[in-house]
Amino acid sequence: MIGISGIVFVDLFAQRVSKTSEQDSRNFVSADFIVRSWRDFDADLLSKIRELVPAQDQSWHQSLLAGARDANDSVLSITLEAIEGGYPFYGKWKLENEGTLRIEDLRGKQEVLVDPALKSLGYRVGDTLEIGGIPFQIRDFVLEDPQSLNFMSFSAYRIWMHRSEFQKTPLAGPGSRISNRLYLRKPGVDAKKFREDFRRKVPDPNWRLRSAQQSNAQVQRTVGLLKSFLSFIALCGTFLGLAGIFMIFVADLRQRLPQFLTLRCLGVREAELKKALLAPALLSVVLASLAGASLSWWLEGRVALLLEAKLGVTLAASPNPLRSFLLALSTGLLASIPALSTPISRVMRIPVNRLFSGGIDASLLQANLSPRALIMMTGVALGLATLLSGSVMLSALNLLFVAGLIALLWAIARGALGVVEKLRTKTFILSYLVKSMARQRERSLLWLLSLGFGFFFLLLGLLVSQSLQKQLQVADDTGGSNLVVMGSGPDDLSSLRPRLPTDHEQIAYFQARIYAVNGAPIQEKVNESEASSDDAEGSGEMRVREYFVNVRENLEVYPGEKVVAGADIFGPRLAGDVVRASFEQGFAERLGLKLGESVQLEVAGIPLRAQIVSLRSVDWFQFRPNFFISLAHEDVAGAPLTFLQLLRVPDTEIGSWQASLIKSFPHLTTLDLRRGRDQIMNALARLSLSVQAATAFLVAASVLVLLSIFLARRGELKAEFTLLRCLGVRAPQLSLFLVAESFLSATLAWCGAFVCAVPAAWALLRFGLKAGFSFSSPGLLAASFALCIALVLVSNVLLNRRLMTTAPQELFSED
Amino acid sequence: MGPSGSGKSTFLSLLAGLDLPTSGEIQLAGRDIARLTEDERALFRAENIGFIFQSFRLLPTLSVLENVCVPLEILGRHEARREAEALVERVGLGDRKHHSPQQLSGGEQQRVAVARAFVTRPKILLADEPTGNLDSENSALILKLLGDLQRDHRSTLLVVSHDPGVAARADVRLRLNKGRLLGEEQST
Repeated sequence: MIGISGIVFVDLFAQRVSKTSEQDSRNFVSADFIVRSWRDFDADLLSKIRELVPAQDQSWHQSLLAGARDANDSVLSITLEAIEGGYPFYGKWKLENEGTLRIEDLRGKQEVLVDPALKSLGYRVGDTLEIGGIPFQIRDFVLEDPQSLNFMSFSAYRIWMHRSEFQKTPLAGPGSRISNRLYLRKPGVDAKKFREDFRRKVPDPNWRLRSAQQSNAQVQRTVGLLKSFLSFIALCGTFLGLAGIFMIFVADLRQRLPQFLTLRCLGVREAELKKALLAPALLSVVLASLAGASLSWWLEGRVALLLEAKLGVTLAASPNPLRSFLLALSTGLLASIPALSTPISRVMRIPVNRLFSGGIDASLLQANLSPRALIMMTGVALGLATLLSGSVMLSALNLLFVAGLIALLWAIARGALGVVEKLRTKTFILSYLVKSMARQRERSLLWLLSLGFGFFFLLLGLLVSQSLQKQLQVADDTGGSNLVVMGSGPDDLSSLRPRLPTDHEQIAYFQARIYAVNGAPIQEKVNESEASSDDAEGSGEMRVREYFVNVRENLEVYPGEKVVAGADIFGPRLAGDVVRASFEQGFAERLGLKLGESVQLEVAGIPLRAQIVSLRSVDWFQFRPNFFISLAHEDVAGAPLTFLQLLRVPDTEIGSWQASLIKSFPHLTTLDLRRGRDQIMNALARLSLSVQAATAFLVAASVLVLLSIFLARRGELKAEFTLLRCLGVRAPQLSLFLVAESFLSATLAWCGAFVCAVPAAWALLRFGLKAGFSFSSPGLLAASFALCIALVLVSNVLLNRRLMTTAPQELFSED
Repeated sequence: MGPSGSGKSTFLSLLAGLDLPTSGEIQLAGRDIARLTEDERALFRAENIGFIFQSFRLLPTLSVLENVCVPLEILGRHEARREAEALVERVGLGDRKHHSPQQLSGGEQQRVAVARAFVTRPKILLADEPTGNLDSENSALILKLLGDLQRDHRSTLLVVSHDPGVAARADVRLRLNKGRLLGEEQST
């Protein structure tokens, strides 16, 4: 039931998210197309776009980082969204008090809509925020933004106002770093054709075009990845669930072996006996499938509601349960029929004359149906079921991963058992335990495998999330900056200098376009997941982008940076007036550049050739301004530089620092880096919680297998314990047997899981998340180890506690 | 001796301290075992009583030699292996001492059980239908072995059986019916 529940849950959830993304794909951008640039939309451009899309289907958005001062003189870093036009075209605002609203309702009013996070800071509707020296009243809190599915991390509180009001503030003046976007409604049009029309009229690639259809593709890819991950978990859970069911089934068959042989001896035909055995087993599978499907249908609905509340999004209505019920039934039956009918066939092969000679014991079936055979059968049955049922798990890669993981854990468990066999002790009961584990090798292996399986995922999730959190924490604790002041020129900052803390850092940069690589037009290799973030729809479109180019005055590397190849960038220009540049390693790879190769840049209309003389690695988790390209100051002396001051001030004084800076220098922007870091930490905490919830499902499944193994061996253990007690072993010694067995097997399983989880986590962090690995929470690891031992011990003792106290007189009476 | 339900197994259970009497006392080797605690009775069994069952009851996860070692190891004897090996040789299974019980015939398994029962040189041996699962040839072999070892170890051997042939070998024969002792016969 657990296995089937997992599959159905994944299917239902995937259906809902896919449906949501299909219905609301335009919510990603709340339009059909967006034209974007750092440049202002001039009249010529607007008239060209009007030829494609009428004015009423356009909405102009401007955004920038700014400061807002409240009545108490406290200053907040804000991301200001100034909007004009028909926005929202799709989706809707969900406000705390007013229900729906269009941005034009704010025209001519000094009112703003604000981030709901401000509520927790004590702000109320009607409070005043001074933005660019003009007071604005808080009209309402935005619970859901029309771009509801656009999960972005904002390092500042979001505030929305009408663009006409924004234009009245000095923030809109020359020199401001405003991002301009034109939202276009053009329903039903082919994105490719529209792009061609747009490019005919606006060939300048600085005006980038993004389409909702591309965003949808990105959602589908994200949904696909999520589905794949959940499917993997569900597949593992189903495998464990099925393995447990088969263990119990085979144990039951072993116990009833004399009955079957007697019935056959008395004239019951094989076919009838098979039917009698298979029918109730299949009925159980059908009932478990229906119960599993019902359970997950209920559960998925609750999870969706929870997600809607936590993430502030509206998901599509409940998916069709019929499909999921059919999926549950088909997967359950397809996976079970071969695995249930095989042991039954094996029973039928046992000659009836065993009733008269040779005796009947468990070994008759055991010889033909070892746990290893069970695992193989389960794997084959599950593989067949997933392929034939056409379920969400139709991923051969997932099946391969599961098979590989089982093989690896099996090999580790074998090695560990080999070590156990060599253990020597003078305590009889412990030496008996070691011998039992060694002789019942395959059962012990299945036991270790199932536990190891569950804990592998638990540890993987734990190690990855803890490493990420540690990295962010370290960046925060090692004296990194927590406040950034963005200025427009060196003069501003020179007047600021007397007010800055002594340990501040100044970084200069300018904007440049890369338009050629090694003399050829730029052709950036873009990850599929990044494709929709820009306008490279289809293939072959030239991606000319603007980058912030860092200008350095000395050799000192920034915190988190490392020069991985090449020399420094200071020195005379190279032949052909080429300047020396240092590139971030990953960025160079994306552009297909190596050390010694060159790029052509355009800075404020002036071309500049640069050769890569050094490659740097950057720890992006340092959460500080970092750059893809760095040049020496002397090479770009005339460039229009912008300056950043990175400050470390006491956390409690960040607000007052921002307030005093904004008061003295209203044209400057301050940015509280803690907010972005906190958002990432929160997102990580949520992600790690959801991963751990998914792995808890697997741990539950592995406990199911464990229980089935305990149940399957209960008869044998009872016989052994009874005899041992008869021979003089005391009840406390038998308790020691169970405790030592639980401790030993849990330790081996956990260690096996740990040995696999560490390299897996390292690989995932290193290659998937580009982050470092660290053992950050030994306490949590110890807790998972204790959990592993507790689960085995409690299951073992609870199921077998009577065996230690039952009087062994039945040794005689049974005879 | 006695028919089914006569109380033979209950009698053995009471003697072994596996069951407790509802009234009266059981004096064995000079001790009232009904007054002992569960753990004391376990130790008493380990030190004083050997068991042979109709269906052998060997531990399937242990080899022949390891099965014979078990009672000695329970008592913590350091020379367990040497003593057990000697007895395994004595019952004629020296060449099969590393085999598992499943690899032996019924007669061989019962010989292992006999070796296990005698290995601690117990004062009393309780045998419950020791030949019940064996053919006549193996039965004879087991009975001879039991007799020889009983004499050598000077143990008291208490055998429950339906077989008059087995009964004929005993020095004293007790007849039970419906839980009551019907009579006692001495061999002449």
